[in-house]
Amino acid sequence: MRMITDQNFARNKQTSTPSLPKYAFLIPQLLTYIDILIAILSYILPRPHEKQNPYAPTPYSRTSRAILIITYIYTLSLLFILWTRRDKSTIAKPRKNAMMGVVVCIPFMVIRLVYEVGFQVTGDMGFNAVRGGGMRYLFMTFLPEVVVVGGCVGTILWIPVEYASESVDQEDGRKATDSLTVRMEMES
Amino acid sequence: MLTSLHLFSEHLSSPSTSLYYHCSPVQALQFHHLETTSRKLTMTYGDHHLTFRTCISIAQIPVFSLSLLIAYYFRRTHRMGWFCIGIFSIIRLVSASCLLALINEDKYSLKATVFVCENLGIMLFVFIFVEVLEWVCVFIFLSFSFQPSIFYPFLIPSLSSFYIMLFPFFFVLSYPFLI
Repeated sequence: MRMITDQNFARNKQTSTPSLPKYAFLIPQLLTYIDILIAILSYILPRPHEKQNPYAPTPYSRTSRAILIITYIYTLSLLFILWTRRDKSTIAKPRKNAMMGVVVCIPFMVIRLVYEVGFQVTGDMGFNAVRGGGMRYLFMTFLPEVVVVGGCVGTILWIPVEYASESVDQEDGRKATDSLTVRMEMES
Repeated sequence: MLTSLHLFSEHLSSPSTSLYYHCSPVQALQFHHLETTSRKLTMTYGDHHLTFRTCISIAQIPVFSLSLLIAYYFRRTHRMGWFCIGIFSIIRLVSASCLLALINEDKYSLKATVFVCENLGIMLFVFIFVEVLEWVCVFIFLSFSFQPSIFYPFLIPSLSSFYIMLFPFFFVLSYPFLI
């Protein structure tokens, strides 16, 4: 009887937490690698309009912005999956709070993205950071960024310290990263 | 900075403002409108004027200095996201100070730095979000069985060392200004 309850306890403990494969969080890195490749290609390959205004959007910069949008949509889908699989018990409160922090930051980040993409799509110099209008810069770049940085700082501060330092101590006194923890587990 | 403020105040008390005393209020308003619009049209970088855009840059400096200190605090207390917030703050501080340098001298390199730095910061936010979401998600399946996949090589570099690879962006994005 005790064995059965122990097994049930273990199973509940495992199924109550949301799970996604590790590489799901590495795809944004992969997309950024592609972005870097495009930037390097734009450096190597000849530019389509040689004597143009240097601020004007090029096909390469447009592609890189498209990749940025894809990365954002991917992050949103990750958030959606985690939201649908979230743990509704009171034990997982800090994790839910952290997720809410990201949810609050997303709309402001979309505003920032619209400023960036608006310049690339329309080519309007009003959306340029150097030549553009101050009002647009204030409400579409500066204030959203301040809100997002504040939101991220608040979210990370909100995470209790015992959770934040849950990573393993290495031999040289530094904290091991998640991937290293996984490797250490595998080795042991 | 102080010189530019001094010049700005000098501009306000320029001889042209004395015209306001010798005309009706309506005419004064019209004249004021004309003067400000013409000033807006002729105003470029490097002519020692404080514009609205440069005032935003002045506001950026204390805000992102504070976030840089917070990033250092996160580093000390082994919290997540210190690298992204720190690098983002440094990028914004560089762009703000370059824009403030544009008040007194109109240099192409300064404009290029502002343009590149303004474009750089967005991706870092994605990584902060992903880092937080990664903490939210608990990898239970890895604890009892490891499933080898083609993505395994990507597990090896840590997130911090990855960002060092982003630095070629500085040079690659400045290419249009070098030709």
